Amino acid sequence: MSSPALDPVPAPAPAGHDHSHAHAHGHGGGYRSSRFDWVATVDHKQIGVMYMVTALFFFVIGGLEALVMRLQLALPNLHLVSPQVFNEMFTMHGTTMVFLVGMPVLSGFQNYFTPLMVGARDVAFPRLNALAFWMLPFSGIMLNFSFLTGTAPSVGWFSYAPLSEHQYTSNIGPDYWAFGLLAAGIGSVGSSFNIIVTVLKFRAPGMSLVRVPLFVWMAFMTSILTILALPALNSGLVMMIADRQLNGAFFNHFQGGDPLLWEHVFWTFGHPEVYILILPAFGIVSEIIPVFSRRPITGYTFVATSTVAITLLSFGVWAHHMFAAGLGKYADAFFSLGSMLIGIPTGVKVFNWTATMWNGRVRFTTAMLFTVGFLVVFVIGGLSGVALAVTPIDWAVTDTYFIIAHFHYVLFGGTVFGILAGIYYWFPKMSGRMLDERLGRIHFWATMVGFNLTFFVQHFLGFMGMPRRIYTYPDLGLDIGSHHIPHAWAVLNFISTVGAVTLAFGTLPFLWNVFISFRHGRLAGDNPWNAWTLEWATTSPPPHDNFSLVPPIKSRRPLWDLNNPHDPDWKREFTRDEPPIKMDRNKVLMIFFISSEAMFFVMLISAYILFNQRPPAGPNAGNALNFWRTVVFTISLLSSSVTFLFAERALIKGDRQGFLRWLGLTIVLGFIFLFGQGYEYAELFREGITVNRNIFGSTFFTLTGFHGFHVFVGLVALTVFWFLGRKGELGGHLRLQHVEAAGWYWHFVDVVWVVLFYLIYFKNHFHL
Amino acid sequence: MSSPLSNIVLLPTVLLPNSTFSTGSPEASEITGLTLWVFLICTLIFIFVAVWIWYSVIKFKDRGEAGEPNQEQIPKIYEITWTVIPTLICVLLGWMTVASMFGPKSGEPLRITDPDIVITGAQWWWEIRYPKLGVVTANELHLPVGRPFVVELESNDVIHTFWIPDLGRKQQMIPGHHGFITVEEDQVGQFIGACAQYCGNQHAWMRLLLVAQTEDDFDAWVAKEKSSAVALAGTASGLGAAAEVPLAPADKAAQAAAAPITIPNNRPSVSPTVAATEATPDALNSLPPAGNVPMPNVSPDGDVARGLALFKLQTCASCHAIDGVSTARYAPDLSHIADRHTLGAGVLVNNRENLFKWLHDPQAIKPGCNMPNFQLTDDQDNDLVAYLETLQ
Repeated sequence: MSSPALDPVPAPAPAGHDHSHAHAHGHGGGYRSSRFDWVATVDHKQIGVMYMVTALFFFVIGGLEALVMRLQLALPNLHLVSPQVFNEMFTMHGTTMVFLVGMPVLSGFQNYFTPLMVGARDVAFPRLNALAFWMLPFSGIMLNFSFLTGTAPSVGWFSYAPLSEHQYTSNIGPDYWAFGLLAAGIGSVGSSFNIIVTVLKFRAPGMSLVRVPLFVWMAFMTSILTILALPALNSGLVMMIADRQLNGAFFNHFQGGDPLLWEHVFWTFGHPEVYILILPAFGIVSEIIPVFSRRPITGYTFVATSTVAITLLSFGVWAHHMFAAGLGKYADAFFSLGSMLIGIPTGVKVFNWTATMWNGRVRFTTAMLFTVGFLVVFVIGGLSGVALAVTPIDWAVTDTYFIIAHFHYVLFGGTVFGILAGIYYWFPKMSGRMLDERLGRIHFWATMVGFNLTFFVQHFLGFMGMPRRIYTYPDLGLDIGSHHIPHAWAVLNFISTVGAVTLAFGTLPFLWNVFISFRHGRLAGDNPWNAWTLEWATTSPPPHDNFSLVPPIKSRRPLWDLNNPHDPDWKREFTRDEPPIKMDRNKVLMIFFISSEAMFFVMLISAYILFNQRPPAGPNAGNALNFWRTVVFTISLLSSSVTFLFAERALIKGDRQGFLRWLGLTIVLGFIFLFGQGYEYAELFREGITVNRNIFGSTFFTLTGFHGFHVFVGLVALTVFWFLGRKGELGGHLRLQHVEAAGWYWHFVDVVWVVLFYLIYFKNHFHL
Repeated sequence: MSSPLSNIVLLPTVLLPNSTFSTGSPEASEITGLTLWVFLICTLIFIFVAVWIWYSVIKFKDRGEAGEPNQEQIPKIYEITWTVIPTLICVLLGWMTVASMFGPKSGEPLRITDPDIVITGAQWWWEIRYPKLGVVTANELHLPVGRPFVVELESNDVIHTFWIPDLGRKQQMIPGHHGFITVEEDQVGQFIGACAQYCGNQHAWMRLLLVAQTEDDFDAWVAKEKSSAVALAGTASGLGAAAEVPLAPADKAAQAAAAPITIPNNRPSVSPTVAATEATPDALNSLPPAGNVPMPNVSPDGDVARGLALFKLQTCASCHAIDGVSTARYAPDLSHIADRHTLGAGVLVNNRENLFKWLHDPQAIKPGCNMPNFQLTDDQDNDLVAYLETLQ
């Protein structure tokens, strides 16, 4: 349903767009090219599809893991699987669903639709996009390979210490878990950088930030959450690996560490993670409801602003996962109030969505069925979440089946329902064909019924005293007043299992639907739903460069304006026209990259401060380090920042020899610093001060080691630039931007060292 | 600040499930009160939203009209209202929360004093010590009704969580940390609890029993616990073991790591076992039959003296403490095992047959637990059972 554009505008080529990847393709577009094309692709649409297909594969695996658990728990005292296998099941089910299904499929949607919705040709960094995707199968295979070694991870998807330490879990499961998650995290963060820079820089003319679809706002905020939350997880994984492989002391209180630190570090990641999982689903729902109500979303500004608020607040409420840890009433009260506060922007969105249908014309396609189902189910999950924010209630039901019910209502009822709605909505755009509506309805009702059967009863089981993560349970009854109901636990668990089996069978019509419609579905055309955002202004599927012509953009619904010239949105509501930011995309990326790395260092620095505030027994910063020698090497590193500035100035002036000299000096000074670090390490090793010696050793080497690694990577980059400069390839404005971006990284590394130097060396030398 | 609302709300709890909404303990009642209020609010909100959605999809269903509906946004006042009202609700919930947490029934001791009870979690059992009374036991917590106790929570290995729903809040036992809560039970009875933090293979069967007793019964129990294991401590066995001298009460109290204090209402005589005077609760009737262990050859003819010798020879004494016999604390203290209601931290009801099955093959009942299968013969099992049954 394409209409001729009144003022055709060619799709914007991202500034300085590197055309080499387009030539590497050399095909006419479409998905029926050679198989190898998929492996080598950097096209965001193909990458998006690969994310979704991979996620679907792991969804089946994760679902089977859940089914094994529910079958084992159908009746009391069953012995279908051993306790070890059951524990592996719940660990892998959680890990798979969060990292191999939830985040990837949402990444897939974000990758596919963000460029289309803002009118761009691709994401800002297509090759980074491809690399980020391929981390996913690598991570998934590594995680699941652990089954073949005989022991999959079995310490829970959040792997509490010290159970995850090698003393209590000596098998290799948790190591697969840690490395698998590190790989997956790299992929998520890479993909998120792309989304951020694309949204900031590669919007079509007229597509200001206040006009982008809400899905794009959600993708943008999710990406910011990802780049800041994953480093927290990475820092925890690093500490866990240090403990397990190198006998580190982070979580072992006999060596001066603290198991509680793992809880803090993990949940600093874990809470933003749940928003990473739900915000894109909010975005999908925000797109679908207006289209099938035939009205614009109610309160676009509120929905977008509240999302920004959630992003900021989500880093301040992590300890509501730790109410049972005994942090004390002041800490508990703070996190309780914060959690209620963050519930407000989340919950009020539900009113905005529901109000969108008011005075509209609601059409129940399968996408809309899942969306309205989402509304109902997510409200239940959200309300149980608000109840959990009341700390004493959490004390009663945390770590029970009530919590399992709560998070499945928000993650399955929220994220999965949202994803399914998105698939039914966007499958026509991605494949060019419609999904069968009848099969979709069967899928919806089986899912709705099965889901609620499975999880609603679990609220009661939690209150009745059933803890989570138990492989079986006694045949307990329930007392109401003076009445005794025998076998109550068994009845509720059995109902839950029936629901799970229903859910499993309900997935079959969906899989069949996708498979059969891909080839034989009704042709969709450009805009089968008569929707209004830019992805519907091109063919289904879109051509390689996304748009031949982008329609004029003067409001949030360009296609509405096009099809209703007598009643355009921009006459109803004024939105400012603002161009994308002008900064070079590599510099924009560098700002966010530095923020991400800064978060990683903040976590390691916090651990260092926590454990070294009072000098630990044995070697510590006060007695083991050589202050004045380190001053010398510090001066070397800090002056390398100054020499870099001179190199930049020479480059601007076009003085190639000067540039090479100053840059060369920078690199030498950097290597002098690394040499000094290495010398210090060698001396400490000679004295028997290693990672495993005590908590000072663990924190000192991890912190300075990762800093040194960052210095090394920086030096590699600078050396590459030096050789490029020698070949004469650094002339021109673009290359200057690259050099400046690298410079920011180099200055960041120096700033981190200033902080480290103060904390580790300066404070102790002067006994501050 | 106390929570004034909880008292009003507790009236209908006689109609509510006991194990879900307990009122027998002040801390649990506090939580029950809050829960009922919060769930009332949440249910009303849900009904409001559900009705709104239901109404919308029916009233505004697409009936095939031509053209598009009105695209005007609703007045901003609606958005403001539905932001302000939830904010006010959250303020209310926040006030209720803070009032409860800073009130007298929060379960958080106002001052950390010497604990009355020290509970240590281990994989996969509970050690329960009364430092001021000189009592050490395992997997069973006895409390007299009507008084608060300060409990210290520790862990020997990984993170466990102490949880008895009828007592109120749960709290983690983190190795290297000392947690403190206040508990009080006001109803006589037996209540079941469980570890609520995944702690390894047998987390499912790390359960404990709260036995809430009258003051007199509790004193009697304490007196029995403090007395040395009955009869056998001084008997030479047929297998050549030397006679053991019963531990003096002072040594036993030292074992409980605090100076003994005489308890009020001291009853010097030992009263009949507590279990016989109370109905076995549903919780115990529901425990599983003992795994895949075949029909045991239980016989009442086991030799007590041989049993004691086996206890030492088969290295049981290296892990389990028995008054006057061994002092190891790696595994549950067995000095008064015959008096306890369950075996294996709540996995079996404690009776002769189950004890035999447990000794015969603990791994079949609680696979992965730290007690190995010692490949004992039936006769050895019978002897051990006979001996252990004397430890009242």
